[in-house]
Amino acid sequence: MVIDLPDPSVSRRALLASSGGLGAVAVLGTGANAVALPLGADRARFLSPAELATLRGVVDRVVPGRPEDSVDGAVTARVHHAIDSLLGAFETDPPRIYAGGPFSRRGGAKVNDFARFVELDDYERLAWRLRLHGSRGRARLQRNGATPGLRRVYRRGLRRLAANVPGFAGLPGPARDLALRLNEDSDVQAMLDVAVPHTLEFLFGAPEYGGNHRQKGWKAIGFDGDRQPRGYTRREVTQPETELLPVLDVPLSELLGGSLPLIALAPSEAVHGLRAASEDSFAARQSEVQSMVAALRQGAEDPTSDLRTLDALTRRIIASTRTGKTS
Amino acid sequence: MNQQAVVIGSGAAGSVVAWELAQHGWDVTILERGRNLRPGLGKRRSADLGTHYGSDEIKGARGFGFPDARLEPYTTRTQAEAFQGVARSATGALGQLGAAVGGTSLHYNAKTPRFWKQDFHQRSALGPVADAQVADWPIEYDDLEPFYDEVEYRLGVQGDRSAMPARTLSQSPRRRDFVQGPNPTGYAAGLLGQGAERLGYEPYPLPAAVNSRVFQGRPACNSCGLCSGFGCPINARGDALVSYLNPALRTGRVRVIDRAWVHRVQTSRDGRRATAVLWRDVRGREHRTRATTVVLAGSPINTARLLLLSANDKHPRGLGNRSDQVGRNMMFHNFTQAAAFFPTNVHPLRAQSTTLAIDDLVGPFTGPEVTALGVPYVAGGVVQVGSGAPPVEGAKLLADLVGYGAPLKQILKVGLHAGVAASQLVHQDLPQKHNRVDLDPKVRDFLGNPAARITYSPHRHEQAAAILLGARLEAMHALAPGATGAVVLPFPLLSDGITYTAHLAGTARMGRDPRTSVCAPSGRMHELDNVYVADASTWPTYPGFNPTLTIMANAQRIARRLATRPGE
Repeated sequence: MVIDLPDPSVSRRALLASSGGLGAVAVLGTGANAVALPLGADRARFLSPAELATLRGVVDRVVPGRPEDSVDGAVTARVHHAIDSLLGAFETDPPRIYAGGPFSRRGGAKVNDFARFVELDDYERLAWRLRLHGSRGRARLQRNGATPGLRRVYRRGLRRLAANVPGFAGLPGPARDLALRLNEDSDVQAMLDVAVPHTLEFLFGAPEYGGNHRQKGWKAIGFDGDRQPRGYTRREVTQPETELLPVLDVPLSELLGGSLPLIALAPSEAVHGLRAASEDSFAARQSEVQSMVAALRQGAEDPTSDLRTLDALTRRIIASTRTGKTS
Repeated sequence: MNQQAVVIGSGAAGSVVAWELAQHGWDVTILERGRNLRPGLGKRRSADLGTHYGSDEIKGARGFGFPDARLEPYTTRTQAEAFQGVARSATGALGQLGAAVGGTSLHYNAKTPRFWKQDFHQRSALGPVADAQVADWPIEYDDLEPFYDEVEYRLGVQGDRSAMPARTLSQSPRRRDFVQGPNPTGYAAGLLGQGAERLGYEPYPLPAAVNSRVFQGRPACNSCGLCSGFGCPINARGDALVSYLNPALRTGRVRVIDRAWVHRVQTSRDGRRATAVLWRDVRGREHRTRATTVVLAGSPINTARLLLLSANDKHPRGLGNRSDQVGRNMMFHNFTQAAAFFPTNVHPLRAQSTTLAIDDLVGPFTGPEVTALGVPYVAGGVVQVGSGAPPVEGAKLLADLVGYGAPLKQILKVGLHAGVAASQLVHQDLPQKHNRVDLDPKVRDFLGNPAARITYSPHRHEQAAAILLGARLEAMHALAPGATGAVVLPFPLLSDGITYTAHLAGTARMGRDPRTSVCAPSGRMHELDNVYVADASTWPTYPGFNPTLTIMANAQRIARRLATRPGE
């Protein structure tokens, strides 16, 4: 496979360096399209303004916000900027891959350790350069096949999307939904495949990674955020305020379409495994989960299946307990 | 000259071995493929170590402290695929444990139940199971008990002996009470515990290596709830690094070389003794460390892989593998989960990761209900009661279920982290000949060595356990006060493959008969005079309890015997 896309990171790094002590200018795009923009001093950039606008239109469909929903979504939480920062991670030193520890200031600490990113060692640099920039023909990085790298996956997918759907970024939400769902372009789908999990990570992860701006992601779902070193008091643990949760417009079971039991996956060690198996590709995860959904449905229909046996046993135990008999 | 050992792996087994040998005056070199994530290691006391960890879910999503899926892949397939000649059906970070100085214990959950007396002689007590290689352990609970006690007192294990069920105490007798009392029980766990009590079960505080008071200068846990997969930001957990490795380094007799990938144990010409260990650094340069004793402690998949990579003239099927048992009996804990739904925020994340345990599903269960499921008995395990999903993990799972967009947003607002509380049963996994680790014929790591390939499918026993015990688990959740519904997810019934949990065992089982086992009860390999296995590879069976405490206790037993009666 021939890699034909320009990789402007080196020249951009040089330009960043040449901007002297300011550190407030980055050059977006390449060659004749290059544009210099003022930036926060610590934010790396990779995508061109046009690509970023397309990405903005994508993340907005992954988790929509106002006006169609009453609380913030991915765009106001600046998720697209966070993705761009990840793609340009190696343009700052240390690369913005792992936030530092142990505390942000949200849990009562005086200093925000999260804001100082962890220095990567040689192995982590190798791993993350491979993940972001691809194997680029280096023998020891592609013993098991070439890796394209996230930068190329995003850039290709966004460019193809913009080319296939002229004016995508400016279309109304429902039109963009259709454009994404009906798009059969493999580059667009490969981009979506990583953009969905990235959107969720940056929306609900620590704000230091560039998303979850002003904790809008956490506020949208009523999550407390990181609480260390304050933590919770004994009273907060044992006698919390148990306020009513929002009631859904549509019943949960309908939204989940018969896959309800898989909710039980959420808090488990096993979900880590699921992620490992699919390398965090949205499509791969979906297909694993869907195969389990299929197994559950099949089991529910077959009266001789193990799942039906389980279900019958459960009902018997509950019934005998409620009627006061021990099982 | 002092006695000297090279230990491979600095996790739960390797750190304990190094510490114990150092107490006996040995000089120890530890080779570790991960990096150090605790600033000050070896220079400051454990209470004063820094940490790069925090309550940061993105670090976990990015595999902080883990091997990279592309640089160091494993491959996997099911038994059915293997019989059809499929070389592999997945490649990546599959079933990988952490790779860091201190191993996976840096971000473990610190749940520390003990194994039970009955676990050590299951084969004699319950008889054989078709298509499984169930074997008695060559040691008894009483051989491990002194080490359980020592390890618990070094880690600072919390618990409440007075609240433990009588059967638990008779099956895992303790010579003294816990080091510390339990932390407050989470509200959600308490609700699920009440559901369990309606079934006649006895929930009690889960023993855990988590401080409930200041212990050895490290603070009490403050119930932040972000435990599993997170390093503790306030240093409130006892683990391999703070409790063993750092003190061992500070004796001056132990050193750890990080980012060292061991790929061969060299032997003498007659094949009886290890003479050196070969390893590469991140740039691929080869190094040779001479050894008079070698202790393998890299966890079951990596230990098996290294033994197979070390094949030579005298050990053509892999080091110490005349029995053909190296790599076989690969065991994973399967989990069956259940969850209860609440219309209110029950704050499942607001507590130490898991505060209650239930032992009423340990078994073994026999009788017509069990034989109807096609197995002679069902052995279950501990139930970890009451946990929740942090938001990134929960959101990704929901997206897998409903896709992205407006419906996802609606569910996210309700919040898996608020109204869903869950528990999981740790399944005993029976050892099988065809569940094995071997070398992938094609896939290699970034240093050019063959990747470990894992062939695995659950046994009918695990499926039967998921039916019988999954029903009880689901009922317990449905009966929790205020619950509007419950669901169960019996993994062994839904997948013919691995669920990639972090609980691994088997691959170099210990036993008395060299024809059917790899290691002697002392941990020494039958075919070598100076090579020991100290990790969970040595376990003949895999009882349904979290493994780390037993890994540490067994490693200390092996190391003490090595120091006092070398070569046995």
